[in-house]
Amino acid sequence: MSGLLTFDLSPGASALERLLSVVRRRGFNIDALQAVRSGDADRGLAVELTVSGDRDVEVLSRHLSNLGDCRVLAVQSQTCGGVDQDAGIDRRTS
Amino acid sequence: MNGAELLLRCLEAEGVEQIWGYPGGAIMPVYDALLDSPIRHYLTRHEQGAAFAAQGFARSTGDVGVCMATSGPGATNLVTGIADAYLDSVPLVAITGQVPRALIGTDAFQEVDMLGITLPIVKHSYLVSEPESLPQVVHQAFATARQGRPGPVVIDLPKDVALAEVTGQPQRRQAKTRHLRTRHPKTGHPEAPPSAEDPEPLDAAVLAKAAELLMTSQRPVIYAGGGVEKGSAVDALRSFVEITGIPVVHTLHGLGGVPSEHPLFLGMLGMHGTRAANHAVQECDLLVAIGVRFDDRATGKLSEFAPQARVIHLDIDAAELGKLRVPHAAVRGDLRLALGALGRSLAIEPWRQRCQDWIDRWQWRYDAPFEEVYAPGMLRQLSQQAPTGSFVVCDVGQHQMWVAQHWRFEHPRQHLTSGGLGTMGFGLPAAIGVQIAHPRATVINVTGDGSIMMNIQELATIRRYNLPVKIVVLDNSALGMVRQWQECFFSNRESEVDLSDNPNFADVARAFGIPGLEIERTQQVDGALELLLESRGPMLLHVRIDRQANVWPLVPAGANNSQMIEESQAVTATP
Repeated sequence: MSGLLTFDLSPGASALERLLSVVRRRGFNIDALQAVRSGDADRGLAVELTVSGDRDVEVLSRHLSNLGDCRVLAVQSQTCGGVDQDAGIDRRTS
Repeated sequence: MNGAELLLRCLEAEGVEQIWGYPGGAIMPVYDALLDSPIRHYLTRHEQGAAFAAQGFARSTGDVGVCMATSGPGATNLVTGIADAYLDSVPLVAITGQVPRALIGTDAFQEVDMLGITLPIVKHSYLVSEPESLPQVVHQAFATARQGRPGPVVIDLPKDVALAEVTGQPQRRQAKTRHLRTRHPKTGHPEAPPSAEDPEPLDAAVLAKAAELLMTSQRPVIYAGGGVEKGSAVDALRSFVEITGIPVVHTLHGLGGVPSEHPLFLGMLGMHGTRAANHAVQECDLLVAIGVRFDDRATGKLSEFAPQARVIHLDIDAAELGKLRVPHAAVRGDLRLALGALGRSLAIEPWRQRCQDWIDRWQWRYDAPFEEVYAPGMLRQLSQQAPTGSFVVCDVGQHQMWVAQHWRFEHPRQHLTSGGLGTMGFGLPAAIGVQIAHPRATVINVTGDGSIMMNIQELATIRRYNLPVKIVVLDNSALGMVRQWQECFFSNRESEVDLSDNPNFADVARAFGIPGLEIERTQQVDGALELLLESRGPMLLHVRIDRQANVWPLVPAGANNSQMIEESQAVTATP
């Protein structure tokens, strides 16, 4: 599974550090990363991140949404159904 | 006014009345300011003790606990307590001293990157770079710690920021958050109704789907966890259970959500759960998961957990929904609102009767004819004799599971245990925080001979403040849970679990100025418990138990929850 996520980050290196820490810990690889100064007055970072992994990118985006200095703007993901024991996730739904 | 004084004023504005901590170089300006502050500081004998004492306060009140330490080793000694708070969603603010700003990044004396070290184990963290930002930082830190899914926040304070002259004013805590102090008229526990100010109404379409799942279920089970108490939803859960009549299983942190004696309560589920609870979950056709995270200790083999069940998952944290088991209805939001919206009478009497049959068939037995103390029986007796409203604070290991299995729980806030991180050494300092928060309550720390040695220095804290904590040390002269697993799954090859050179813990207590008593026979239990509960001050009861006693039943790692083994079935297997 892979996905493209876009964010606004608060100013400060720790915001990007925190974001990447969550991506790694939740089991995703970083395939591409672009971070540029936001046009906003607060001068944070606008980030585009392409990730891949066995788990659901939507769940990753919800973890990232819990970060105090990260605003998730968009998530484009590819997901699949079925039980994925390797990923430790049970995806059975009706 | 300097930054340290402003920090303390900001803490006062957040309602902080006590802090647990340990002084040192970089945090000295704050300790100096404390001398002129109404905030009471409790000196522990190790920073980890401060973190767990603050947790004890937070877990037992629902309000934010505050701990403090200096930079470097003081800060890193807090880390286990912070991680523990993160795993168990405990509102905690940890304040750490830091070297002056000009020295950050130079490998200065007692400098560590506390913000970096704690990134994965906090809800948020701040390195205070400007003295003027203190009011905003402190206010945001407390709001973050307590709102939504609670958790720990770190404020790293450089020494020169603490010494700098400032003119700011504290930001006032919002009235809305004061409800955490409101007490339930019957239980005495904080319990607030949903506030009209609470944002984010529930998704009506999802609620309709959940209601449809409920109405079409023949064999539903409620699987309720620590999120119920964290969301002040204990009363809402109890009402939901009464209205629907659905049988209930609890996680370790959910225990007390419905009282242990409730006829619909099947017990704790999972690795050391009851047979009734695990069978019901494996047989159910609908799992109503409330404030739970599908932890592996609860689910066993995930792909075979509740294999016939559709799932309604209710949680405040969207990140938990679909993390491990994709639900058929994912209800994100305030549990009190969700449970209130979903309550309806269900025609499931045959299923209720089946569950009742399982409860009756697999009752615990306490008639072991041993001369040695039977720990489960003693704990059951202690919970029955302890006054209403007592707190039990566990450590980690076999005794923790015996408490979970055999204690009579009234409310989840009265049971403090390190569930997510499973931290040995949690219990004694956490009991200190509970006792300070509830000075008139009976606070019982049930610990093991391994666990108590992890923070035994806090006996000095108990003595210093004359806290009437009752300490029960179950001493099997071994790291019992590890020994049990080595017996069951590693061909009984014991590796580094022998603690037969333990001190006499009653003597140790006496050395700290705390009365101690030692027992080893069943006939001594009645008198010892009476002495323990009637003592006006602190007391330590050292209970010697059978070294080979194990916790049963047990679901082996990697097995599903229907594959529980009992003592008579224990076989050597691969873990």
